[in-house]
Amino acid sequence: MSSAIELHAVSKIFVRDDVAVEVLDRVSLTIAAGSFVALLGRSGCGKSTLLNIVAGLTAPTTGTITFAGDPASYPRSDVGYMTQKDTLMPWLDVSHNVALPLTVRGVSRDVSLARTRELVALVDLERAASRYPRELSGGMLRRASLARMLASDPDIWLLDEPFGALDAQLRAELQHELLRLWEDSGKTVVFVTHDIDEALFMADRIIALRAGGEIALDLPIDAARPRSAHMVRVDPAFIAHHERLHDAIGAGANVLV
Amino acid sequence: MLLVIVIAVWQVASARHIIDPTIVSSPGAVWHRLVGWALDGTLWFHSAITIEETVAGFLIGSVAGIALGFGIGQSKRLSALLDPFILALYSIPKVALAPLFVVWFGIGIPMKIILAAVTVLFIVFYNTLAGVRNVDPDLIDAMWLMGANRRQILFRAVIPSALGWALTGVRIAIPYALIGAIIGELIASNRGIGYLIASSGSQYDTAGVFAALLVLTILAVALNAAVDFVERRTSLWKIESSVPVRGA
Repeated sequence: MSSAIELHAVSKIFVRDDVAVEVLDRVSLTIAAGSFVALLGRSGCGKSTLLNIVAGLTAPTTGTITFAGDPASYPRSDVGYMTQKDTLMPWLDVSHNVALPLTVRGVSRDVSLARTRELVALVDLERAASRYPRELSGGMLRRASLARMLASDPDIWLLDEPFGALDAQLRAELQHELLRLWEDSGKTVVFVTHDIDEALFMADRIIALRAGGEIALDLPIDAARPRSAHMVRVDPAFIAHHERLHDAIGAGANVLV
Repeated sequence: MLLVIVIAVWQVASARHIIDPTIVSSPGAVWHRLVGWALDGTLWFHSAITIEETVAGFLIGSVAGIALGFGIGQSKRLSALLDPFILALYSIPKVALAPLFVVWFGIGIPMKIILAAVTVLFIVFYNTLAGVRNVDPDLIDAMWLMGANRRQILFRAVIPSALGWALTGVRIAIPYALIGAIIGELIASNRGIGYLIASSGSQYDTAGVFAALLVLTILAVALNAAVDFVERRTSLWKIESSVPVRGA
């Protein structure tokens, strides 16, 4: 399988009040096209920074990134990024927010309208299409953000704890929907989470980061799909994975937490 | 009711010379003067002048304030460079500029319009600039990720986001337009409500002063009512609910 994203010894050092903090330490990583990769770690381990670097919002201090072998240049239309925070425009309704990436790219009105209707239906928001972000529930906001990310049909989906702020039931629902959208799409997903079960349930491969931004464990998950939340909790293979991941992200971080 | 009592007491007190009618006049004299002005056209002529100055000053000041706010706010370096000067200019009571404007622009109507416009401009400009500076950087990032260029970021994120602030400034500035026009008239003029107040005062015509003040009060109340009406009719202001309101 060809590689979608390659990171070569990517480090990031933030300087705050004259104190240098190393957030990522020489992370090298190859992400295969079409795979679903989870970046797992506790808060502050640098996983969001890594995603920001891949998206081009933050420049790495050292190291390089390539997309399908080509050096990264930004902004790029083949990468969609759904941030942890909702960044829908408050003055636009759901339809116009979803259509915004198309408007920005100068897609014709007819095409954009049809595509938007399709996307809004895809995330099950038809009845809220003309509502404004402040009128939406947390789950609906996430659905709208997802639809907006998908609007320009990117090959790479970057998702930063997309369902982190939702209650357990809603999170499970949206996890299923994301998998449904991804399966057979051929798209590459990098999914940041701090939830081991969520990573096990969704990913083909889990990369655990420890505090200080080093890869602690790179674990392929070859269990068949569809998986169930129950299976993740009781299957002996998953339990073993869970323990290894728990140790990997916990090591060294216990002191800090 | 309270008003009726106050007017009655005032009338009785001045009629019996308990208080000096040359100092405080009497409701009857004020009413007499108002009716006289209304009949000979004085009232309408001077009111029209003041309204014209207020509206023109308000419109010019608002448009210029919004344009300047977005223009300067767009460039971080320029706005940082100009910041101390802006704050200094903002802090000057604009009234103090009136004598200078008399020298520059004469004592005609343009001087009052410019004084009103400058007063309005600073309030609107400052609010717009604050709005531009408070645009959520994550929204700008989101636009950038979509591949938006500078112009698209300006028109699709910065302007809509800061518009609520700018409009709040416009709303606050409306009474200041009237103040600017009146101050200009008080300082140097031969027409307008401010002139009526000043000329009546200089002739010890207290009935005239009170009559002119009454007209001014009615104008101010009508102006506020008009703003409230427009506000209730326009959905534009609803944008504000998503941004914190900030005063002048």
